Amino acid sequence: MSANMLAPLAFAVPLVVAAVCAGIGPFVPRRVLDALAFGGSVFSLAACALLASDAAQGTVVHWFGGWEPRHGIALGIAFVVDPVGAALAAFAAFLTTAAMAFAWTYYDESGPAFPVLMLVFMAALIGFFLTGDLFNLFVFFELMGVAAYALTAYRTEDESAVMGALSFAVVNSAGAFLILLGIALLYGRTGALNMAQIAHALGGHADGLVLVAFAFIACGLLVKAALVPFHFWLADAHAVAPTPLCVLFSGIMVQAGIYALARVYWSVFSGALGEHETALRGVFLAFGVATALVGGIMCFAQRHFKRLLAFSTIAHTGILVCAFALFRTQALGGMWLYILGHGLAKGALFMCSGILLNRFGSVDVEELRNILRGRPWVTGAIALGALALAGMPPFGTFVGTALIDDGARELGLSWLHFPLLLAAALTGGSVLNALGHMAFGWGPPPDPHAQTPKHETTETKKNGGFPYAMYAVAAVLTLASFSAMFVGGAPAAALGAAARFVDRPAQLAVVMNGASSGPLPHVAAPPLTEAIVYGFATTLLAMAFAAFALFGHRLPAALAALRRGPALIVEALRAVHDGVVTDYIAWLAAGTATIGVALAVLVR
Amino acid sequence: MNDRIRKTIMMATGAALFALGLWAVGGLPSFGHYPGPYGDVLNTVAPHERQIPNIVTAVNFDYRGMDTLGEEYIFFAAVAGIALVLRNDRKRTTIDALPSRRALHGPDATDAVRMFTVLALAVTVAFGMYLGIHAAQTPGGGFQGGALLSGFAALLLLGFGFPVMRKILSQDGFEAVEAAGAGAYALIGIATLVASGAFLKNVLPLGGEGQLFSAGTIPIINLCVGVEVCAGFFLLFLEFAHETRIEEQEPE
Repeated sequence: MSANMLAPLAFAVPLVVAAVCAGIGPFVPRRVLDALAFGGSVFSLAACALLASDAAQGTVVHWFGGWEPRHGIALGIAFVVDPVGAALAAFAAFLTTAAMAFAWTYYDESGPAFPVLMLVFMAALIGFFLTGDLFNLFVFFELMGVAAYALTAYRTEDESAVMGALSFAVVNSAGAFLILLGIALLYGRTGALNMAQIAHALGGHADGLVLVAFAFIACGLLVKAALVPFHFWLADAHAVAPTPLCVLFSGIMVQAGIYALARVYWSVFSGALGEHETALRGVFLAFGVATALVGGIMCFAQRHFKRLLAFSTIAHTGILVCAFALFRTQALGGMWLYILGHGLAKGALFMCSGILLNRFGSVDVEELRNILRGRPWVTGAIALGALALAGMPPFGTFVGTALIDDGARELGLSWLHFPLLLAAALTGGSVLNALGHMAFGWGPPPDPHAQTPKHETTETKKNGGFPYAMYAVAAVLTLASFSAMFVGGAPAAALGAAARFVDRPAQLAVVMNGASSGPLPHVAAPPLTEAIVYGFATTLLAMAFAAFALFGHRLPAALAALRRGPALIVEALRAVHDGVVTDYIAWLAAGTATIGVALAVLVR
Repeated sequence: MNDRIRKTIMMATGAALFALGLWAVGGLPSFGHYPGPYGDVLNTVAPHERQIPNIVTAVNFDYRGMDTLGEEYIFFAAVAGIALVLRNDRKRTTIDALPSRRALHGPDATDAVRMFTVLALAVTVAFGMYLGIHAAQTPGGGFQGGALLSGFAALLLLGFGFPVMRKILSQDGFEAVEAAGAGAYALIGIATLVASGAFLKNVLPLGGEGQLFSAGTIPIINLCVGVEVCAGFFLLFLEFAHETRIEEQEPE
């Protein structure tokens, strides 16, 4: 079978399987549905993996309906599959497969909705990564959203689950609306929806329409990516969503927003906006750094383990947005590796939180004090996850950070190391802090007057036997994220893929004229020696943060006063994260207006 | 954030967004001057390439049929999601036995209402099927026809009440029908991929423009969509009707 046919199959087969599951759902045992859904995700994983290796030999283009472009006009929709898109689609299928294996012993309720919506969600992600058509991208954005909102509300008996799903749905729908506005503006100007064709029609000059269209589309996609101040929905949704779903949300869905931003920028806007890169860099770096720090600080202030992990995802979004904002090939290559490394580590950590919920019925760190004593496997997995978040060598996040830093250094922006390093250390330190409570009973004694959070409603089968599948899947993800640096040639491949990703003229020839892109260019990876120092420094800083949180109360009074400053910042940030959907919309509007006006002022 | 701060923020950012919007719209071609080329090209080539007078249908179900597949699954996922969110612990069979609030508190529909319901049912079914079948010829299609047909369920509920609706519409059955409609669209894509090498390629004979059986796969896909949308709305009406059931010992 040719690669050309794999691309549509990778997303159409799981859709068919989803329909089969929904149709036969009431008549067959649950295990049959689980097995079918698992088979569907394994099929997509295999198809996307094959597709990625084919795409490395040359960009794969599939014209739906056989409508190949005529005289430079695309009549139909194309999947334009480059190695980055195919690899991320394969990663989405991999995480879905892992989540389904994890969920094997997880739900006691039967009913086809869970496997059906998981398959639709995965298919939407795959289509989102493969499409080369702007409106088609929007369709998959919506499809992904609808499946995700419903799954978030899975535990409907819990009021906060419904509230979390509601803010997720409202904020993301507002983001989708922004994207649609941007697409409408571009279509009004160019009469085209194919990314390559729009780019060609826009030419090399940007006016108000192009700039505003870019601002709206970027903001809409960054809602999915949870950039500050569009990020509020993320923590609310992650805290309540079923754990296997959190693996997908934090592991790939949020990053899909950043991927799409990069895709849209380099496939559509880079010609028209290329001369204004400095202005764009300023705006996106400012928001990226703010996101990394807000996410890191809020992460550090959580005692609900899933919320903690959710805020860490926001911090890592900030790092990824900074990587995008550098507009350098190395930084982009680093971004791809960072997405993979972070997704594996965060997936493993969410699975550990699922194990905690399954074994002990809680994810509140205070309540779980000492509970992991004598449980070396979970303790070890969480510790490794924490080190991965901090970016310690040899984790995938380390290699990614090294390449991003290299891009920053080339631009003379070496200062960027430090906020990113700080954010990574805060997220790693938060997880170590939580682990200190759970595994060793360290930390200040709980405040007897503190409000105890309400109990989680259990999402797991009671007395369902030992969940071997959960432990096995969590172990696989942890080990995979650990081995990133030992995969020879991963950085070089990521850099080569990034070099093709940014080559807009070549893409136009491939999409519109059926030219061959040829195999990936060979790009030598920069040496990682200096970065290793930074990697271990970040790890040490993470340990220092954790130690300060765990033992700060034993310091002499003068030093303990140090805790007051950060506490004030945390209080202020907490007050802003108030769980009110209308506030989230106000923030969304304010953020969009700020980005739009800033771009307008800087570019004009 | 209190109400005043929120309103201030929304006013300020609303003004900024409005200004940005005006700036952007200023870059559009002036009113009535369509710059093309997509619409012009399609208006020229589609009628004879696809033997179809309705270009919008040709775009939705052929040229850009992939988008519509995605849209259909958005509807499918929304129905599955609503079923998930509104599910309850009660078994389906016991739901049927529960009385409705209305049955407890007042009389059912009068004969006059029932009479008109029957008339409306006939018109709804006829017009819905007409719209769904003539997708290629008239400004209709599977989505519109299916949505109209599903009014059947709402009318049953209004005129004859929940027990009758439940007796006529089987939830399990329509779940299967809805899934079949959605899955068939994707399956047609895979079948045409195997047959021609392009997903959703219109491989069937095109017939003559304006004939009932023309435009190749377009009417067949419309039929699938119509079935899916109609069954999906049936399921939604059933789910929402379940919410009107109450437990026998409802606390005061």
